[in-house]
Amino acid sequence: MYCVKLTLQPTAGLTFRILPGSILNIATYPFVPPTTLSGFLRRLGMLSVGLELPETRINKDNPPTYALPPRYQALGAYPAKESWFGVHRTYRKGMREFNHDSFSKIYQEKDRANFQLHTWEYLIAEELLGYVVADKPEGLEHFQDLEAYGCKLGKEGFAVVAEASDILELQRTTVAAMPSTVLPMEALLQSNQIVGGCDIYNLYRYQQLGDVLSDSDRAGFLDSEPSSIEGFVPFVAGYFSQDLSEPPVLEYYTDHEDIYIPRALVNLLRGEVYA
Amino acid sequence: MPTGLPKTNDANPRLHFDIYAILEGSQELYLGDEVQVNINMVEKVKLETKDGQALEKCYISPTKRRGVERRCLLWAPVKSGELLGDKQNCGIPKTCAEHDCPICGPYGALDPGKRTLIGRVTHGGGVAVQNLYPVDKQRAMHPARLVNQNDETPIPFRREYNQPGLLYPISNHALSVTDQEFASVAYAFLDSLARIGSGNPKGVALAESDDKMPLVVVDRYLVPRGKRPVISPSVTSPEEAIADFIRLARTPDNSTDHIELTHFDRWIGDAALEKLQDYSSQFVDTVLQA
Repeated sequence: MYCVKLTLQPTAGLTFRILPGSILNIATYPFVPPTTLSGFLRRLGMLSVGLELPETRINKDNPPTYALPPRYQALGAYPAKESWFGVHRTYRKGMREFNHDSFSKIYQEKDRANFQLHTWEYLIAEELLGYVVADKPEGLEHFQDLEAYGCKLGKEGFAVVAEASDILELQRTTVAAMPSTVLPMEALLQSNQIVGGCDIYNLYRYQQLGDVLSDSDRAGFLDSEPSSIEGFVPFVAGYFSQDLSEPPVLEYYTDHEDIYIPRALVNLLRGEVYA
Repeated sequence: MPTGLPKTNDANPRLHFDIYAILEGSQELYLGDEVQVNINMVEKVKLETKDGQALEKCYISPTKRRGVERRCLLWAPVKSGELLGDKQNCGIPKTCAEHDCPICGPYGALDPGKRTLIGRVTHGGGVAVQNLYPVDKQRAMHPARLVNQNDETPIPFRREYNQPGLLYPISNHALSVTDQEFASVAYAFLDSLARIGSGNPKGVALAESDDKMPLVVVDRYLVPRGKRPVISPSVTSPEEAIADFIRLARTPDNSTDHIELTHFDRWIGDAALEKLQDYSSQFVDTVLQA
């Protein structure tokens, strides 16, 4: 397995809506979910070859999805170990209806306060570490070209690729280590380990349409073709926000230094196992 | 057409723009968060590390700056004597959602169930540099208001204020916009500075370095070069923040205020301010006074 580690520098508070959620309480994952990272990197790829950003249409028009092709798996991005981060929870006045303009009126004859109070969460972080893996090293060099590019990330926010690592070769091994990414709960449960200390989130993965693996390392990445994605499949994942004294023993892809990618996550995102 | 946007021409291509700046609170600022019993709190950000250190800082939220900027455009005076929002029939939350509207074009719009125009301007930063806690003041305590009034009993309350002199590193990113669309962004950015903050007093200024250079950078590019002058929310020393901002802005060329590379232009300090003012004049000439 081959991997590129991307260091993202957020320039803004980021919101990755936890779904399902409520309209009034906009909660964020404390990390970049795999699907969001995939769409972000796809857009950076498009920018890096001089293409314009895709505008998306409203939902009922069945808007196209732009994500990385299945050749590359984006595994999400997570606050770096030594860095500062926090989930900022705040209050925002949102509109209840969109058919009036009383929020831009300077002179208002009758008070038509028509707002609803939201709580809104933002992930504010100094640095996020993201991972992209692939079976073959060919093509991963395109991710190194994304260095210095930035784009909107999440429902709210913006981030820049501050640094892209060399193409790293990862070994498959079973070892006790803290995962660098989220960990599918199914893998933890099936290994019969009692591990506390992780937060549990509902996440989603893309369901690819049929067999769309392409030989080209650019197709569906450095062009403006919409991705062939059928929909989203939910899964449950654990996220360790702190190191444990006794980390779980799992099958990892690792460089034996600081990258420990659970094999179960890669298989799950590829749709090879169901959880 | 995958992007849904109409094609522009060679004379008016779409490019990327970034504005980076360090703002300074010229006086106390109230940027509200929640109201507790008789005390109005300001919005604060808490940060921590995985090994348990913690920081709490004042904040100018990017969403608030965005709202002020959008209203600056809506309320910009047009030659005919009306305001731009009235001329365009564009307001909040009911926008006109036309892609050629000087407001909706860059800032985005939603016409529920019919049209969305994704905003191509993103606002960032806003976490203060110094970890100076806000101070609260007693309000509504003027003796004239404390005498018994028949129908209205004044309720004294306290209000927190972000302290003056706080530095706020911020950024505005505009992706795939034309020079004309960026002219709206530049006008709104400059016009909004004096209007940031709820109630009175209002206003922030562009902070200056020791040698009186305004801390602002404007990039116009297709390919990002050099380094982005983004200050981490963990930095607490103003000297360090300003030195970092200048060092990053002046990468890779330390000798000029206008870095020119292939598909990349950067203006720094006074040159950047001038560039923003040029774009702002373009907006006035072509939109407000046209």
